[in-house]
Amino acid sequence: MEDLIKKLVFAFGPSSKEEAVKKIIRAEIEQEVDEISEDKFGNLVAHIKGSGEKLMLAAHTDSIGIIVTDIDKNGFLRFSEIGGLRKSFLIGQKILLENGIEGYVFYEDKESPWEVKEPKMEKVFIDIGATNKARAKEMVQIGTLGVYLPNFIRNDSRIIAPSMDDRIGVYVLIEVIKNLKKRKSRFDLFFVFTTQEEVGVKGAKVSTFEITPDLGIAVDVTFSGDTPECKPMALSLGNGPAVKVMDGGMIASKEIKDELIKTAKQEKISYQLEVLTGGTTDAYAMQLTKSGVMSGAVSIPARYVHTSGETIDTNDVAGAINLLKKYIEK
Amino acid sequence: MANIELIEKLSNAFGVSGDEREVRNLIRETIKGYVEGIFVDKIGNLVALKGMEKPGPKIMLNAHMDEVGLIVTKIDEKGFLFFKKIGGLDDRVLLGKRVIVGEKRVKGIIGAKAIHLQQKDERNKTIEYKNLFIDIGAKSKDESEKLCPSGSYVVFDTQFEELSMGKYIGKSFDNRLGCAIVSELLTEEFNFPVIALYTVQEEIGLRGASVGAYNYTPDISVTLEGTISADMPEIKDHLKVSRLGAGPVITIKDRSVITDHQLREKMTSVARKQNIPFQFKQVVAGGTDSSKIQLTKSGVKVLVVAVPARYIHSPVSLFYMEDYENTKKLVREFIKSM
Repeated sequence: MEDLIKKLVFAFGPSSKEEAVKKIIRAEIEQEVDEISEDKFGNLVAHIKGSGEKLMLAAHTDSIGIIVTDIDKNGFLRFSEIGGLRKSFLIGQKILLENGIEGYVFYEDKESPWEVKEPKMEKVFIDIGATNKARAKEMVQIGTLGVYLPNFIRNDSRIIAPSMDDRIGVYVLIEVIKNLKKRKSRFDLFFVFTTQEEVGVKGAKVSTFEITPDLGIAVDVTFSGDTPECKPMALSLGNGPAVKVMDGGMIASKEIKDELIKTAKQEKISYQLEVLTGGTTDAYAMQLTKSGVMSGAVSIPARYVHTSGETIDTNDVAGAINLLKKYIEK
Repeated sequence: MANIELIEKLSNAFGVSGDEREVRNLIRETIKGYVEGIFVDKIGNLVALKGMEKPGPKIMLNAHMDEVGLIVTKIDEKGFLFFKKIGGLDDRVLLGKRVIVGEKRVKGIIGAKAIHLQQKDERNKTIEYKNLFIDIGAKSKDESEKLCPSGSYVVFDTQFEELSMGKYIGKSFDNRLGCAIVSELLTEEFNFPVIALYTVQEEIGLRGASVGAYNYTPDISVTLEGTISADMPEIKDHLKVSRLGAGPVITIKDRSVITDHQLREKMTSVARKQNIPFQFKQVVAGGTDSSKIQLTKSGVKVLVVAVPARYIHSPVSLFYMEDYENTKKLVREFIKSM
């Protein structure tokens, strides 16, 4: 399990440049599905034919990141965010740029030397160790994309790494495809590995239009409420995958939510219920496409979302794979 | 050579978000001899079709017709007009400006309590638009109501003018410059279908574009805009957004969209081959119609190219004709290279 997750985490894939992630996915699943192709928007769509309603399962391939906006006269890089970058967790981070160059994020510290008072995008920069502008320009350009430098910590059943959002969702879908008893599937299945989720659930929107599914389930991370003095959230790592009730963008279709819960109970899979006040998933885009799609989601509880140390529990991941497999196979 | 007359007419035209008639009619008259089909969709977007029977990718050229402005909300007992803003307008650019109001094109001035009557602490603050009013010199509420009733749109009273050689000032360069470029490009011949989408209500939420590409959906869309050039004193280099004289501004990412990487690389390589200067938009700010076109149906690949202009969203903007020419040339050469 760990190897493939690590491979996915280490793949470079900020919103709009997900090629490396898609390549890994393709290699893992192309023998297991009937059709695989990329649509106009770059979404990777895998089709396992079946009779019955069209079910679209989505996990997004992109992660949050940065984009270089300026190279100053001394070779420092100015940048802007791609997706919901958390500014408080940016300074002091290492960044990996698309051509392999790495750098360190710091800030204009004249007004607040030693400790950061107010992290603002206009005041941060990346040092890639270039000695001057000319040297920097040999290494990067305006428009070069970057992500948090991938790393991977594994202890017990926990993994700490950037981009768990949503490489873990991608992993779940890959494993569902691999472990599915395809002949028992009660749906015509479309596994969509979407692009540009972090900048507006865009891939999901156009992909849903193209496929026109009857049902949609997104697999993504959600917040957990099990760290010291944290914001109340009734989800804990290790208590199982979360069945989405509601999030900042949608209320999950009762039919899907109820069916997932029923499946979990029948198959004795531990599960939790998710009510999230802020944030949403590809399911939100699916729900409001054309004349509407019944949509829901299965979420992996995660700590420190959108930082370089997103933390999940592999038992929840195994539970999610099993839950979706059994939901499809009934 | 740029059609300066067209730019002038478009710049001077009255078209605040929600009432783009004058601009739409002007464009229609300008392009009708060069396209096979023209129609206005249900929300007011102007769509023109050229060469639809040709093979090849369908290319869309998009520009919004509306400008930011004001709308009269209330007329007081003395005949002064109170208003709201339509689109993004900084309150600081309003006081003391000449405006044109409503169907009857009545002239007026934006006023406030005279400075010598203000409290001392009031003098240092920007006067909020709520405390400003338009004075059309009317003697009574009745008179004002007859000339410009509630709901009348208001534009800045600015005439297009050459400031000095090749440098022009006027209003609504965001986005009459874009409209002018699209219209000029329609006079040329291309080897594939071209759909021109002139949208409405961009400034208040990209509304026209939300539905505009549905009827005739392209494969590729280029949005033409007039964008911020903040290359002024005391602005840090990395916050200047773009610079006058440095050529068309190509957007990589703004608040609403990431443009297609491959197409954009193709465009910049065309620019380099033909020695057309260009620059990238250096601050991730603003939103464009491209973000809505991008998500139409099963998706569209989009690009955004803009003429840099100073002081957009204010009574008087400034641009260099060389930037306009290079923007038009870049888009033309890029399309031809498809």
